[in-house]
Amino acid sequence: MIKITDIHKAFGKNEVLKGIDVEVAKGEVIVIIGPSGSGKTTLLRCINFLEKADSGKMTLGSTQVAFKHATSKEILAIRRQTAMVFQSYNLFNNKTALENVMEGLVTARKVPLRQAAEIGKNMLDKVGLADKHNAYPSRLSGGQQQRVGIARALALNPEVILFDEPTSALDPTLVSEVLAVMKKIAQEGITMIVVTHEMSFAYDIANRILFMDGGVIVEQGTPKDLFVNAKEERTKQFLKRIVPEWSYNI
Amino acid sequence: MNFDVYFMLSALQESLKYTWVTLLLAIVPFFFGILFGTVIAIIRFYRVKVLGELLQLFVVIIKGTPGMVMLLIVYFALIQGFDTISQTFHLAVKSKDINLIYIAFAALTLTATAAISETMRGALTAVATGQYEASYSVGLTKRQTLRRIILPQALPVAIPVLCSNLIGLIKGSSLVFMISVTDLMNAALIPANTNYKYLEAYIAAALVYWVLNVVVENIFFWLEQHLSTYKREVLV
Amino acid sequence: MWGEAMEGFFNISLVVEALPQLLTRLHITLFLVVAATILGIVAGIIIALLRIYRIPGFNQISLLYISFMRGTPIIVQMFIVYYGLPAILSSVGININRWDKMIFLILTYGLNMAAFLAEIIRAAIVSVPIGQTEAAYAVGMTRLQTFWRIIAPQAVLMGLPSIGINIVGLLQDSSIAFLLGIVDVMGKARAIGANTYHSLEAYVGAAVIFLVITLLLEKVCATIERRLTMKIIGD
Ligand SMILES: Nc1ncnc2c1ncn2[C@@H]1O[C@H](COP(=O)(O)OP(=O)(O)OP(=O)(O)O)[C@@H](O)[C@H]1O
Ligand SMILES: [Mg+2]
Repeated sequence: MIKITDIHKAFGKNEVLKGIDVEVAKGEVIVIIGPSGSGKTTLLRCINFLEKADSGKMTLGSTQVAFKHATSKEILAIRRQTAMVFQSYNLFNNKTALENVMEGLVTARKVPLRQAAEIGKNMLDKVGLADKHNAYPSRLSGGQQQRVGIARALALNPEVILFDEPTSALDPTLVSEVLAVMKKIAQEGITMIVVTHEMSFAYDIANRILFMDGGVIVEQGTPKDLFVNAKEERTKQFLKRIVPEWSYNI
Repeated sequence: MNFDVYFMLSALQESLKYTWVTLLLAIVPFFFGILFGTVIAIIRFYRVKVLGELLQLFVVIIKGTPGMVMLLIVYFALIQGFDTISQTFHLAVKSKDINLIYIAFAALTLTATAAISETMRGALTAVATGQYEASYSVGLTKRQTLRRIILPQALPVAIPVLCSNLIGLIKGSSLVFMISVTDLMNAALIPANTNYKYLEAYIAAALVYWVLNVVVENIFFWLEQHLSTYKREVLV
Repeated sequence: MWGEAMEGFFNISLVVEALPQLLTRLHITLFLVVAATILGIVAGIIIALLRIYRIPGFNQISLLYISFMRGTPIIVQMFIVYYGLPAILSSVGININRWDKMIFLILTYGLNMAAFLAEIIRAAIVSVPIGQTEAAYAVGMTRLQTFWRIIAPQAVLMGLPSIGINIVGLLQDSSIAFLLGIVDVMGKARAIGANTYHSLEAYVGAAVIFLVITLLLEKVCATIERRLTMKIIGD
């Protein structure tokens, strides 16, 4: 359903993505792991054109684009089939929780107000914020804000939701409430691409894990393939460094 | 449109001759403004009883009075006040004998003091409360805290605002033509009184003010860089 | 004898007498402030946007304009507009010598305010975190939708206090408008002074009016700020 071929991206001389191919099937949950600076965020941001890749192609549903030459119309079309959950939530500060969830529906997708409100409320209920519909972001905890962020993405009913380290800005005590919501929607068959450092969570929800390093995908496979039987030396090194943190959690 | 460039240049020359007057009219009130303004700011910052409130009233009144009105009030008050006194006591000196520039100094100093006291108070408030608490916790007195910890941090914060204050004074000093003090603007206008080429004269004055203020801005920018080096040292 | 002398020098009852006369011209002062503020805000937003979107060539011009407006006294600007505009327009065959002086004043004060506001507005807009724009793009909003629905409301909040300070500044600057011969509060004060030889009392009366209006304006600005903050970010 999503097919990315040979994506390249450099910031000045710094080559961050050096030719990556990813294919994601409908309903699949992909987790991307890898050391800091390996280009995970950049890859996600290129997919919805928050960053403009230098070359490569992408097919998303019925839309086909060349990253470099995408028109603003195509970019809008891609963005309206994707959604993103940000590391720093990025809730609209001037909107309540419900308005945050409705904003994309009403303004971008022209969903009638009443219907949008309906959807919005359902989504907020789903992420466990039934009592916070009218709260502004400034009055929500980090975990609550991120759950609104997830509801906002879900409401759009996109082909795919991109998650960029959705829990790494959170207090440890708040991480689990967000992961629980993500797990729930993963089980509903929503297509997700998730960048995370929560290894046990990755093991839990991923259909497939991609290990990125130095701007390429070094290795990929099912959680078992990767965590237990990694083939590449770089993968083993990376996992060895973080295994103590997650092994006894599984 | 006949714009007399030569006349403008001669007006420019005249204004340059009197630029020092404008500078004096700005710098003297600026100096006293910093002096009195800082004291007022500190008194208000520590909420000294009665005095703090009186000074607040003073600042609000002065700040609410436009520079032009202040100048005229001080002018008439001093002139008439002086004559009243000299009449009452049968003195020989008359208000005519006062050099009017002192009246300008008085009015501009009042304005400057009120404005700069707000600048300084803002800067004092900008230093985080943690800094006060930390100072007290290591046993510094109020006075020591102010001198050694707070003021050195408040000053870099105040610099850009002080810069605006000084520029405001330079611009505000142009009003002294009202009381016939010859500053850079008035100097440019005097030759125009005979041939009505006011546009040329005002443009000449504008150019001098503009350059003057850009120079002031750059000096303060340099000062700010210089004074806040401790920030970088901390970060290393 | 002293009291009598004092009476001749400053007579508070004359201030009280002057006040109602001065107030009859307050609407002129307020009209100037309101009209110039509107012009200033509109022009300020345009300049700020042109700078943010880096319209080629415009950046240098607007920087020069802003620097000039901030670096020269408003009185000089006022006379340059007053003498310069008719001269420029008459050279292209338009005669504006009969224009109301108020128009020159509104232009001067409005254009002056625009320069100050352009910087404030620009700073306010760029201070809205980039994540807000990204999130709006990510839910599929266009550039224009993002600006009006997400960025502008937050920028308004950031810029409001400085805009209020500038409006108060404009009110104070309006105290020199009478030099062009309009009879606003200051113009009236001068006339009273000339007629009664009690200039001091007349100008003190004007000062009282400016002070009260300044305090009122500050109060109104603070209230608007509080209300809008509540309305926009609920805090
Ligand atoms: N806007 C940018 N301008 C310049 N360089 C950038 C920019 N964004 C990212 N980079 C660089 O690209 C590289 C990859 O960054 P990226 O954020 O994609 O890494 P990441 O894998 O997400 O890391 P982390 O796990 O720390 O989030 C880094 O070297 C970073 O410095
Ligand atoms: Mg990242």
